[in-house]
Amino acid sequence: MTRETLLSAYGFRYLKLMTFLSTASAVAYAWHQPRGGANGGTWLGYTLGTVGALLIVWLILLGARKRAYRTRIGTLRGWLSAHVYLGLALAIIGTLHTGFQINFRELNVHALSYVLMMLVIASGIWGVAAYLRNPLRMSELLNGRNLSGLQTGLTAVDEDSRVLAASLGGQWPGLIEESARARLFSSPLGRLSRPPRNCATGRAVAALREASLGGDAGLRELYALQVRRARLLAEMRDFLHTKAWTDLWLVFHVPLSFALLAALIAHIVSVFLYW
Amino acid sequence: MAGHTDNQSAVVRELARLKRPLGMRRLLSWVLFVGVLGVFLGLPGVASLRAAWAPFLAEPAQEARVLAARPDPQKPPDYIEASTASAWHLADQTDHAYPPPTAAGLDRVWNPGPLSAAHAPWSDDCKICHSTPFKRVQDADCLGCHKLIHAHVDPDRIDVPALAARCASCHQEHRGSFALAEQNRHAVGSDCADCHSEIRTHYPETRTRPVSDFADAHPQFRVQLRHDNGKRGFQRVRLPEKGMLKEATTLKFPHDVHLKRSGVRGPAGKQHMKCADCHAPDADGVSFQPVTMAAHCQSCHALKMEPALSNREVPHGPVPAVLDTLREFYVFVATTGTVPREPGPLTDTVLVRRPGESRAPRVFATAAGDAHSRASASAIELFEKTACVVCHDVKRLAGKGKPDTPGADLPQWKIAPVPKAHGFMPKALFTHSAHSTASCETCHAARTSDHAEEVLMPGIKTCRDCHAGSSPAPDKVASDCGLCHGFHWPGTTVHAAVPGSVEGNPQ
Repeated sequence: MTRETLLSAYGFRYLKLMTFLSTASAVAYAWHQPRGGANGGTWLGYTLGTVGALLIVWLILLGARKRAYRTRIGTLRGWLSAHVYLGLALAIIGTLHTGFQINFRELNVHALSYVLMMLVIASGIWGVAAYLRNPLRMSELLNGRNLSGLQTGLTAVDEDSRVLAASLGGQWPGLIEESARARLFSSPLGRLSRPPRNCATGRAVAALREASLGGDAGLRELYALQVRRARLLAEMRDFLHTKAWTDLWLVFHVPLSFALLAALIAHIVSVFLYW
Repeated sequence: MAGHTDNQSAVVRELARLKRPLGMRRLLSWVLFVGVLGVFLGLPGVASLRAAWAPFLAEPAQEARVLAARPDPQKPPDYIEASTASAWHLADQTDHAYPPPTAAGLDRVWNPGPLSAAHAPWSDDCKICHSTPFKRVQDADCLGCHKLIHAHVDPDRIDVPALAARCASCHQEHRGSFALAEQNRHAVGSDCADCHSEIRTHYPETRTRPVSDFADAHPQFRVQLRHDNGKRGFQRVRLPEKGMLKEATTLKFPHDVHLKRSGVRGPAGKQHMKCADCHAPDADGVSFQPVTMAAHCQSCHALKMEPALSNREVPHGPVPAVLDTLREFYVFVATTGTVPREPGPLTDTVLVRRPGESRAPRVFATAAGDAHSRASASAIELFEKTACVVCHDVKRLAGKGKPDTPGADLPQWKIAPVPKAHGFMPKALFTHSAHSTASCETCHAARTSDHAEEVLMPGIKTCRDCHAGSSPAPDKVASDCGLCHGFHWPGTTVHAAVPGSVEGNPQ
């Protein structure tokens, strides 16, 4: 059975809406041959611009709808599905509104609006891709557990390791203490890059692997505990790394959306101010 | 035990930190929203509408530069004489006032695209055209500078509501450096056809025929010809579908004789003449320099007066000047008893041998009689047989010539004035230089024309060999109305120099 995603929600209702809007715009654009070529100032240009502006405002309202838990205006799932498809339709409608006449050579509010719109849509496509791929991988990683569970496991391993290391004496208590202080990532942004290869736990595991070859039962047990710690750490890092990349697009998508809203207001007002 | 708690809280703290959403989305959103709105709407808006509210925006040097670049509405442009300008005003713009310029030119961020080359100097002075906020660019804004533009039809005579369109509805700015020039050349056919396809419903008195597209719905051309009933001025006559239009002239000039493929007899034997031997392009490539007797005809059509002197010629000028020259020459011969020495190198004599004559032509200088009869004989020979009459309409007059001139006692003649050459299609935007890849014969049937009266203007069929209508066609130039026609025409004017024009006339 195919998993229903936000793309296939409601029997692709919003895919159909997107196809209709884009096709209608493209057909109108091809049919309309104004003097001097297509541009935003013809009746079709104004129409496409109005539709595009309304779409932008509605798309941004998703942020409010997401937080409005009591509302009964559609389901959040339906809103999300429509958000994705109408956002894609906006790329086509907005581009046709420009009539492919954009002045990228000088800084101006009109080109800025277009660039921001396309950046927001591109980051949205990135977000859809992330949401389609990563959550499945993340739930496979956790395998029914959650982060707190992993963290509890880690604490338990550390407690057992400390007791065992203290009984073994020598270098082991220090090494285990270092291992217990091993951080998940060197910095908050570190989770976006690959996890550190040679952390304190990794070093403890390497040292214990050699020592445990001697056949000492205590060292073998400590080795097993630290291997378990290393695996738990790797799972948490992998999870947090994937989650960070799954959420990163929003860092661009949301602020750029508000920049777009400002540029859109400036675009519309300035066009009519200097009509 | 302390290490234990530390460890636990360290992981908890790190995890708590990592669970928080990435980035500072709310802060970033606010900063970008306010920043973009401020830079692209707030500041330019205040600078444009209420600069006084934000004196810190003022940039006196910039403002001075902008003001200096504005044309003076009180003054007609330098290149036009005031007398002409006043007659051509579409609207009286002397009270045109410019709005104050935007502070620091901050509204430049609203510029959607580059201005045309001619308007580019005002790229940082938006309000010179966008004078009234929230109102489209007014015609008055354009006419503040374009004082001399002509209406399509005289608004005092004909009221055509369709012509009430704003300037900017046709002339669309912000489309790049050469966009306006392009638009002017390629006015889209359907816009003209809106009225011109059924022009009589818009203006019943018009003599213009309906037209909607050059390819298949355009009338035959009308050419400008002189009135043939003795009236001064010109009339426009439609080219016939078959045959040629004729325009009266007193000049005898058969193109076919000169362009004969076997050549034409000249001083250096057979000569094969080309159109360019006489028709040299003028400086702007539109038409041709005037054809002159001295530069283009006289090397063959020499005005030789005395066979004894093979290269002595009478002037190509007024009749008295010719007669004076002859009279003075033969008086010199008679009084000195000598023939003057050759003034230059010898050339072939121009006197033709007549049927029955086996010997060289007569020589007036040593012929019988006095100076008067020798000059008379020479004059009759020149005017009526060998020179003037070849190209001109020559009539012998009774009576004496201009008193107190040497030639007064010789026979007198009148040479019919040769009408000045004129443009045939003064309203068409046509340049010969743009058509230089085609041979002259492609359009002008000069090789078969045996009379100077024949108007060698090609009909529409010839143009259609290479020009399609608005829609492109294989091997043809897609041609909108604006390719050949102007919109703002001042009326019929006569172009000075055109093909086939002959310099002045010898009268």
